[in-house]
Amino acid sequence: MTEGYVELHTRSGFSFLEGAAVPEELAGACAQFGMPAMAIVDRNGVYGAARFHMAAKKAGIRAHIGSEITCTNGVSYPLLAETREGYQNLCRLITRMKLRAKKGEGAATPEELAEFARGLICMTRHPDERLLEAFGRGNVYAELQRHYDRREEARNQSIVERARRLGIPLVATNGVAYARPAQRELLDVFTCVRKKVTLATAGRLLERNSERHVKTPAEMARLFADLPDSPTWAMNSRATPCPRAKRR
Amino acid sequence: MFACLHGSGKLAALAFEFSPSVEQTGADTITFDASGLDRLFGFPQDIAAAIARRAAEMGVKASLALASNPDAAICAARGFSGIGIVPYGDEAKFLGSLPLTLLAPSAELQETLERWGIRRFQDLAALPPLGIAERLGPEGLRLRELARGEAERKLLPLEEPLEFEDEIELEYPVELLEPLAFLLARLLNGLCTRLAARALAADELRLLLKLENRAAHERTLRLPVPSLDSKAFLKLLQLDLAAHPPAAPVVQVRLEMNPAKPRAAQNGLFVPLAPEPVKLELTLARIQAIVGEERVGSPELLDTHRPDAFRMIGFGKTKAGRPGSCPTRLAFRFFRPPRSARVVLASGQPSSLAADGIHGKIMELAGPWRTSGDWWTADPWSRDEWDIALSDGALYRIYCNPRGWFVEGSYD
Repeated sequence: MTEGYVELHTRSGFSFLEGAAVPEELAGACAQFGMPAMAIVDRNGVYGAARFHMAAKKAGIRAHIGSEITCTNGVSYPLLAETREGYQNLCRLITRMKLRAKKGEGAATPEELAEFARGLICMTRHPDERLLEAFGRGNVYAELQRHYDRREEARNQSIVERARRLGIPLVATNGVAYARPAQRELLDVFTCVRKKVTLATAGRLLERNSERHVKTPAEMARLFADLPDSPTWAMNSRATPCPRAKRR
Repeated sequence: MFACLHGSGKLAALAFEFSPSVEQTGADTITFDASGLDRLFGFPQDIAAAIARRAAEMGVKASLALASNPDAAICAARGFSGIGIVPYGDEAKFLGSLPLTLLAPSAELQETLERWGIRRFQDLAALPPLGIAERLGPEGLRLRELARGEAERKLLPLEEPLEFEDEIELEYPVELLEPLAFLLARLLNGLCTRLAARALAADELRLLLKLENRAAHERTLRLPVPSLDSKAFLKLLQLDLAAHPPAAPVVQVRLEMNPAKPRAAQNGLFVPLAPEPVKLELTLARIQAIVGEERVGSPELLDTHRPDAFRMIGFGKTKAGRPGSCPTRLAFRFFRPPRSARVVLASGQPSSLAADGIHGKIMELAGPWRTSGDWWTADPWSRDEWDIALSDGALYRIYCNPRGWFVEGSYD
């Protein structure tokens, strides 16, 4: 089971102040741990995709491209491009939401998500029927993350229950924000800059622990050992284009 | 009757202790309305003695004069040192020997009077008013009135500053708290009287002690509700000083009170009476003296991921915050301090536990729950927690940090 694991939710430093590793570091860690591919999902953009694609090519892994799209309902949806059309739709969706907002802001409406859903795979921690209607059954996955956090686990249980009720498959990711555990400190500092606070006053805005690094497939398998039928491995074989492929 | 103080020190504060109607006549002169003080002190001599006594206590060095009108009092205070009481009706005679420069006439008038050989009050007072009016005009007439001690006017009242502070400089250092308490009682009584006169109470007391070794010892007491109970204040200060004694004998005592509107509360007919806030504060202070200051109060959770991080803050100072977002289904009982434990691991997970009063095989567990933080400080921390169920059915939380294994508490 562990051999097929691919990290599908990775934020690079191109998610401004929300990621603490450059795409090269992420691709390097991925190759080091024997992962065949990795998906980069920067916040509201595909800014890191080109560098990640080049780094992945150099490291001998496949680069999946996506973006974490902020929705007007307050939820963020990591969307992965499954096909060339999906990549085009993702870029159009981002362009539309950015055109009407100030720099660094903007959110897509649920209707826009539905409009540009073709060729995209949606991972969500808030599975519901509207997403199924928008993206189509088989293109929506309920995302589980485990960072050794008691409250997160309580949320996971509710996601599993809801996904099973809706017949949505589960996908395990680590919500990676940095390549190595030590980079958590950098992310904490970035968080302080983003929130305009100091380390001493940031309190619970900071990371709870250093678990958002790139983990080995074996580690991920251990983490999700109680859900053997869920994680990403079923999803990994699904092809994802990269910017280079699009240009051809 | 009017009194005038001419000198240095806290003249205004001294004047306000005797009268609400005070005029700042000059930088070094204060005049105040002393009418009615005879009912408190008796004859003008007694009034003057009371003012002089209080001036000595406050370290005010000034000459004092009492007269039937403000200007006569001002002239007497400026012209004579010590205490002067200008007899009613004999003002001109009393002030006669004073030089005319005291009245600060204009340069032109001064020159004219000099030429005429008029240099003292009595010289000017003896001149006929009609002739003065013809030759010197209204200013000359005004000067004549002042020289005769007959000028009548109203005081320009000075607004009393809302500062309630007092100090005593000691002739010899005080080492023991008991004699210090006597001094504090005197200061407290005076300040509380001043507060009561303005229908105010105090919600904060600041005590500043100057020590023999030139150091300063400062203590601040904040009260949950404003009060005027000087006895309770004294006891609170005594308890506080007993807990935080000054490092050297005291040579100066200064007490400041923060004025606040007194709390008006109406008790319900069927509601049991709560203890008086100041008395409750006194009780808490006594408890603090026994168990330690940091162990009395209300716990406030700190904004950090560090487990069980809280601080104690005084009652009544807690911020009304929203309850924790983590839904609590089980009550958790903390062991303070956490009990050291021996844990046997199997496949990296705890399998059995032995601690003081707790033994057993771990039947079920959830975890690890991992937290770490404060990496930028000299005291970084990290730990892994497990929630475990022992063979006897009891639920515990155990954790492992670099110092070993501990049982943090049990779930009820």
